[in-house]
Order: sequence, then structure tokens, then C-alpha cells
Amino acid sequence: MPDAPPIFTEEASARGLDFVHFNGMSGGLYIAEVMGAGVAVFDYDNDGDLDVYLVQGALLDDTELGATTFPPSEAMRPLTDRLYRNDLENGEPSFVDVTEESGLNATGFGMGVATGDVDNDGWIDLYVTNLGSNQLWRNRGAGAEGAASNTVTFEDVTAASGADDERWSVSSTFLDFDRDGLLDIYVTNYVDFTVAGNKRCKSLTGAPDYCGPISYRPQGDRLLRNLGGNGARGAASNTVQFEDAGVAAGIAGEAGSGLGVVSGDFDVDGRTDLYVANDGMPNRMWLQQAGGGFRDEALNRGSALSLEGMAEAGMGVVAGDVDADGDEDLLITHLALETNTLYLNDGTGFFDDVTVASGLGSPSFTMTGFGVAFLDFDNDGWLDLMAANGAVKVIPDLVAERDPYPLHMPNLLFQHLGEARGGPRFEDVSRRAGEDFRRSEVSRGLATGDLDNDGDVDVVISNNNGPARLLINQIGTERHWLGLRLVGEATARDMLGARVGVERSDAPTLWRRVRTGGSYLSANDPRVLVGLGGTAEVESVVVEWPSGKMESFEAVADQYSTLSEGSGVEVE
Amino acid sequence: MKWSNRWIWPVLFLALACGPKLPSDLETPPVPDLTAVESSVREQLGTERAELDRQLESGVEPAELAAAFGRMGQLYHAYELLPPAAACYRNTLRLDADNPQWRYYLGGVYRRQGRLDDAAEILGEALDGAPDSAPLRLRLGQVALARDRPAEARGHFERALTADADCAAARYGLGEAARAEGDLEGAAEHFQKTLDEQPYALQVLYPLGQTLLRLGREEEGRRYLDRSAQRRMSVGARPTCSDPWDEELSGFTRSAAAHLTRGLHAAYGGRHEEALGEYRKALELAPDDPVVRQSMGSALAATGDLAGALEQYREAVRLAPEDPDLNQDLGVVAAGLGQLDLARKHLETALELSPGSSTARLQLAGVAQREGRFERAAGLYAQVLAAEPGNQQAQMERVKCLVRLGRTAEATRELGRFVDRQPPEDAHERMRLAMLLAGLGDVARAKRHLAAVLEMEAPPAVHAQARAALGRLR
Repeated sequence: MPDAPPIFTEEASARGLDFVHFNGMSGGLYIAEVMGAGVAVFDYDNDGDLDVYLVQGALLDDTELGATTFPPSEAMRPLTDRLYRNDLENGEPSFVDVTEESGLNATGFGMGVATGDVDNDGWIDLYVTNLGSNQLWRNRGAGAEGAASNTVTFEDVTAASGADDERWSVSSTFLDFDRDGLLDIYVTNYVDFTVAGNKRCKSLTGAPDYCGPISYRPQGDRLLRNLGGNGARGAASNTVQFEDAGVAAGIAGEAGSGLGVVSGDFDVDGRTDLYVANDGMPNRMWLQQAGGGFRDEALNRGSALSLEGMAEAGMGVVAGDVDADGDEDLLITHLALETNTLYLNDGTGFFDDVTVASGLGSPSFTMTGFGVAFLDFDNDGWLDLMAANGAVKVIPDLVAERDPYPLHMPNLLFQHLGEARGGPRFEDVSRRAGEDFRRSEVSRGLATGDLDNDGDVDVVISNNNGPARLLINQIGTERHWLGLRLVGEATARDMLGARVGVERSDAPTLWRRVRTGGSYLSANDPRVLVGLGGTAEVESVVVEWPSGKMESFEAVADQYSTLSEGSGVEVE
Repeated sequence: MKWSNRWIWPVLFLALACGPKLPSDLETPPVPDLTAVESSVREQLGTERAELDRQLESGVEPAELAAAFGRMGQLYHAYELLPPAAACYRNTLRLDADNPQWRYYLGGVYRRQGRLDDAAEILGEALDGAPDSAPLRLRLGQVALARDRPAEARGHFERALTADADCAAARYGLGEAARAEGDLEGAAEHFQKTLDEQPYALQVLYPLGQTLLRLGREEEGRRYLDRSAQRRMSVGARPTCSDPWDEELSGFTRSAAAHLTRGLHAAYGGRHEEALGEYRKALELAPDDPVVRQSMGSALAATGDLAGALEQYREAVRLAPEDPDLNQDLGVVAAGLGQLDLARKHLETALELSPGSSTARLQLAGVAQREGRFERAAGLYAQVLAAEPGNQQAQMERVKCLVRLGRTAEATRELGRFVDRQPPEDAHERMRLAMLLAGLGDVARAKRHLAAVLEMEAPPAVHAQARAALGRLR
């Protein structure tokens, strides 16, 4: 019997995605050097295919670049984040570095990236988090002043927009929490590390090692409310403005070593909520209240701590309906010896930790997970799971091998086997997932999207101090699928937060949410890709728009369709 | 992993040829890279290895060699050098198959390596030699739970409790097994008993609270969850079980980091003298480690020796002058000793190094207040409130400063707004704020909040005080 084909093939360098991350390592064992960086897949030039943005590190201290532990290659200099345009042709993605012509010049010690159209002009903007000031890059579209007609450029509007945060920001996400039609930003901040205040930590043997978050003070997160381009604070009327809404929203002053964030409607009340994964501290579930403002309900609702009542090292987080019951469940990646944790939503926003029963516990027990995605790689309608792994403390076995960077681990791919004993059951299929899953790297960011537009989900993984990996799905198109882009009524902006129900005959409705956030430091394709399994028949597609409006659409399988708010049949 | 062929194979060959008959499948334990480890640890591991060499060379009896491999394994294990530990234990078992202790340790190593099936097998084999060992049963139960076998786990936990009725960890395990089997009443009962037996096992508050919520006993459940929310650290909060084998293992570690860890556990368990003892040992090994100095300072402060704490923090700051935490700690202790100049200096440094630190700002405000610099203090409190609008201490102290500055109307307005926006959930606190409002002349608002206190769940004495205050205000 011939070997089954791999699920994913790694094609980064063959497709021109030649990015290599630099982490600034110079012997100081700075905690920041092992935490980055992220990746975004998004269509920056509106040509219908997904481009890739990769976040770069920088020097942390006054070490000469050439004298760092792993100096960057000439190709990666100058050290800046990189934008790669996808010149997709006949289903073959091909990437070209267009950083310079795009006007993007992100030279901070980069951590993560979020994508969303903050000014509703139909061009996707970027929010880049750093160790230090963040950057909001407004996409000016094609042919803006000073640029060629077919060249898409960005401008740094951080200072003018009031969207900065000078602390160590990590994951961020766009969401329209107040449903005013403008995308707001939630930024997680980690700890108060500075190079000057770097602490020296040791392993049990007394060998120098990286410190954990407990060595530093946790920081408060930031919720930036989008005021639109109304000329607030003396800015030009066309410049988008943000205000710090943390106090009004009730999240200010609640310090936490936040690393991951995802938005959703966890208590199924129609309002947008947030879940924040904290490293070594209880996680927070910010449920939006009827009168506005958020309240942290994680402790009461069973999603703050491990089943045993311990705060775990939350890194990445993803939300999705893994048991196909219509609500959003959560998975959080953790430090080795903790397992990743799967919380199942009971339909009212109370959560049960079903990690062990789901089969996800044991394989993740020895892994430190970061980037994570619920992705239906085989298009069977069940959400599978991928986790990007890499340690944060040196691994003694690798030290003994004189490994120059003894933090690497393999990544994991789990296949959803359907329901068993009333809950989802997963199988670790990493061994047959493809060559990349036999590699051992220090993976951090993970972003999903259909990069070759063939109807199955592909993945980009960003490695700390290593090359980015492009995983092209080889098996998804063996089954039927439905691709949807949901855009607004007034502008063709992706309607982040919209919820889609794909109704099928003799099968449960599949619910998905339009979101780019989640994972760790990364941003996903905003399009919704739904696996249909063996049947191409879709009865209808129901959309709950962020405005509250609900519409029904007809949809055709095995192709992408754009659904515009207001163009469907309104449903009560 | 680098394998040492340097010493063991020639020696083994010699031993096999000349000495007592040894098993032919003995492994060469991998030799960890010790270049970066603390000198005391390197010396400890080197000495033990030399002793093992010596025993191999001298062709000792298998039982003696087994003990030597076992001891070497324990040492690696204690320092979390798991592959060499596992190899040593396996050798020990080849030489001395009957000793359950080595199987127990090897099972523990496999568990940490994620090899659950191997762990279950080796621990199961250990039962032959120690069927009534509570720690062994406990570990088997924990492995069974991790393998999603709650019924099997329950059996082991029950046997552990039979062997050692005080084994709270096994009681807790019974709760976990019951929960995994859907028996929430049973789970709640076991969790509650665990907490009764070991009230310091605060980790149990959360699963107990969650279980009660699911049973519909909401008020009770929330009470436990509220208590759970108040605990900041998880160190030392697990239910425990007497485990001589594990204690033997932890006694092997002699690095400063190991002493620090043990000290930390003791400190969070409230055993400050024991913590101090561990920190002293750490200090002997690493006198220039600011973290050790900081921990020592913290333990001294906890025992009331502020002068001793100040000395340790001073030294820590000398070693790491740009560490905001150390500067803050030094400032706080100096303030406690009334050395306000020193306190101000280091709290200001802490703020410069970590401008977002509300704790340092709050402490600095306190110093300014004590120095009579109310304008400065009020400003600092305002900054804290901008970052943490719900910070009651900052608001109260700011109001006091404003009163001292003669800005009573402003103080009243601010306090009124604060109490209206965030009325304290604790009845006593709410009454305190209401009385402060009354003192500032805002009688109407004070009466409203006192009336609210009467509607809150509170001890009868608080209600009586609120009623009396209301009567006076009327």
C-alpha cells in the first residue's frame, strides 16, 4: 500500500518567502528575545490573494549586529518587518518582498501584528506591537500621493491616531466592541521588562537561564476605541482617531501578563467579549455587559485556571465551535508540563476543561505551545487543531548536545475525529502531517489562510531565530468546501465579528465567526472557509452581522463568494 | 545527547571479566553538559560519578552497584536531568529488580517526559514490592487520570487513603476522579474534605467552587471562587501527602536556586524561619545574586526584622541598580523604618525605571504624604487613579490630601463620584466611605450609601452600626 500523501508540504523558500527572524540574542538571556515574533496573512493590495507580513526583531542592547549570537544574513538587512506580495497565478503562490515600495518601515523590536480596516476605506491596515512603542500603519491604497498608480503604500499614523502603547505589547486584535461600525483595538501587554533592568535567572542546577514572567511586574492591557476620522484632538478630519477606553470599559488597572487575545461572543448574548491568556496568572474572560463596559468572569465561568485550580502559562488562544453545538469554545496553549487546555462552552458561557478526555492532553504535555489555530484541514466540517511549539527555558537534553539554540520543539497537528463520549475527540497526526512536523524549531506565530485559493486552509508559521515556514495543504480539496467573504454595506470592509451559519440537510449547522485575531502574535485570513465533507449541498447561509442584522443567503459550494450586508434576505 | 564512552564501558568490561556477574545490557547514562552549572552542583555530580566509577572498577556486588546507580539517578533526577536519571534507574533495576523505590522514581521521570504508558507500566510493577505505598498509589492514580482512566485512578486513590488516611493529595485525587466520571456530588465532597484536612491547600478552592456552581449551589460556589481570586501565588498551595521517597530526592539538590525554591515554598507556607534558613544557604553559595538578597530581605521583613531586610535590599540594589523591583522594595522597607529620604530616592528610581508601576507611585505618594507634601502626594494619587480607577486606597488617601490642602469641596466631589461609580462590595468598606462622606458634609450621599449597606449581606454588627449612623445623620 503506497504511503499516504503528507497533509502539508513546506514550500516557503520555493515560493519566495525567504524571511528569517532575528531575535537580538547576544548572551544577556533577555526574556524578550525568545518571545517573538508574529505573522499576518491578509490581502493588502486587494488583488484577491493573501499576502504575508512577517514581524522582525532588532538589537536589544549595544552589541554590534555582527557580534550577536546569530547575526542576520545580508538578505535580512536592514532589519525591518517584511511584506511579501503574493503573485498568485494558476493556483501557484509566489511571493515577492515589497517592503521598501510599500513604505512600511517597522524597525522596532517587533512582536506581533493585527489586521483590520480601521478607516473603512476598503484597504486593510496593520497594527504592529513591539517591545516599546507600537505602530499603526494605515494602508493608503493604490496610487496614493507619491506612489505609482499600481503600488499600494502604507503610512505610519501612530502618533496622529493616538494608538500607541509604549509598554511591551504582545498580541493584539481588531474588533468592533461598541458596534459603531469602526474597528477598535485590544492590545495585550506583558511585563515591565527593560534591557537595563534585565534580571539574571538560573535553572535548578544554577546554570543561567531565561527568566519567566514572575520575575517582572505584569502590565495592564489597553482597549483603544476608534473614534473615526472626526477631527478629534485637533487632528485632520480624515485621520482616524483612537481613545484609551480602558477606564470606561472597566479593564484599566487590571494588570496581567497577557500574551494572547481573541474576541468572540462567549456568553452568547450578542455582545462582543474578549478572552485574554495570561502567562502564569489567571486568564481573563472580559464579558461585555448590557450597559456597556466589561467584567472579568473567567473565574466564575471556569476558564481562568487549570482544572486543578492552578494559573497556567497561557500563551496563544483560539476560539471556535469544536463540538458543533453553535457556541464558541476555547483552546489555550501552555508551557511544557501543563498541557494545552480545551475549554468547552456549555452554550451559556460556562466552560468545562475537557483536555484529557479530548485526547489533547498527553501529546501537548511536553510541549510549550504558542501559535494555535482551529482549522479544518481535511474539510470534513470538524475543526482540527494545529499548535506551534518552542520552549522558553533551555532544554537540558539539547544543552548536552551542545545545541546552539536549545529551545526547539516540533509542532503538532491534531485531527478531529468527531464526537466520542459526548465530547470532541482528537488524534495527534503530526507524524503523517508532513516533513515540517518532523522538524524541531522555536515556533511562535501561526497564521492560517487559503494562500493558493484552492479551497483548503494553508498555514504560515513564524519561527524565533529561524526561517518562516509556508505549509501548503495537500488534502483539503479532496472534499467539498464553501468560501465566504463577508463585507459591509457601506464599505467593502471585512466584517470582523460577523457570525456565519452554514445550514446543511441532515447535518448540524456549522457556525464560524469572521475574525483575524487569535493564535499568538498573528493575524489570519478574514475569509471564512467551511469544510462540507462529502456533500456539496448547502441549504442556506445565515449571517449575523455585527450591527445585529440577520440575513440569509444562497451559497454555492467549492468556490469563494462575497456576501454583502444588506444584500441577503433579512431573517427575524 | 553526548554519551560518555570515556569511563563506563572500559570499566564495565573489566568488571564483567573479573568481578561478579553483571547484566550485559547495562546502559551508559548520557553525561549532561555541566559547563554552565553552579560549581557546587558540578562538584556534587562529579563526586558522585567518581564514586560510581570507583565501584565499577572495584567490581562490587550487583546490589551495591545498583545502589550506586540509584544514587546517581536520584542526583540527576533531583536536578531535572531526566535522560541520564532514567538510564541510571534502568541500570539499577537491571541489577536490583526488587526495589520498588527505583521503579517509583523511573515512573516519575517517565511521567515528566510525557511517557504516560511507560510510567503506568513501571509504577504498576513497583506495586509488587510495595502494594500499600501511599505515594506509589497516588502517583499511579495521577497517571491514570492523565490517561483518562478515572475509574482506575479512583481505585489507586482509595488504596492510597487506606494506606495513609492523612494523604490529602489522594483525597483530592478522588475528587478529580469523581468529577471526571460525572459524579459532581462526590467530587464536591472530596474537595471539601481535602480543604478541611489541609486548609492551606488553596488550589482546591477553584475546583471546589466550580463543582458547586455546576451543582447549582451558586452562593457557596462563588464564595470559594472569591477566596480563590484573592490568592496570588500558587506556590505551596497543592494538597500534599507524606512521601519519604520524594523527600529523599529533594534533599539532593544543593544549588542556590534549589535553596531559593525551597525557601520560596516555605515562605508561602508561612514558615518564614525555615525560609530564612534556606535563603542563608543560598546566600553562602551565591552572595552576589540579587534575587537571593531580595528573597532574604523579603523573609526578614516578614519576620519583622526591617533593619535586616533593609541591609539585604541595599546590597541587592548595589548588585542590580537598575532593577525597579529592588529599588521599590528598598524604598518600601526604608519608609517602614521612617527613613523617608532613602525611601523617596529609591521609589523615584523605581518609577524612573518602570514608569507604569502603580505600586511604586502609590508608595511614593505615601512618603510625600508623610513628609507633609500634600500637593505632590495628591498628584501622585491622581496618577495612580488614572491608571487604576478602582484603586480605593489611592482615592481615599487623595481625598485626605485634598482635605489637608483645604480643597474640601473637591475632595467631597471626588469621593462622591468614586463611591457612586464603584460602591465597595464589602459592606464594612462601604460604610467607612459613607462615614467619610458624611464627615466631608455630603450627608445626602452618605445616607444613601448607609441605606445600601443595610441591604447588603453583612454581619449584624455592621448593620447595627449603619443603622446608628443613619439615625445620627437624620
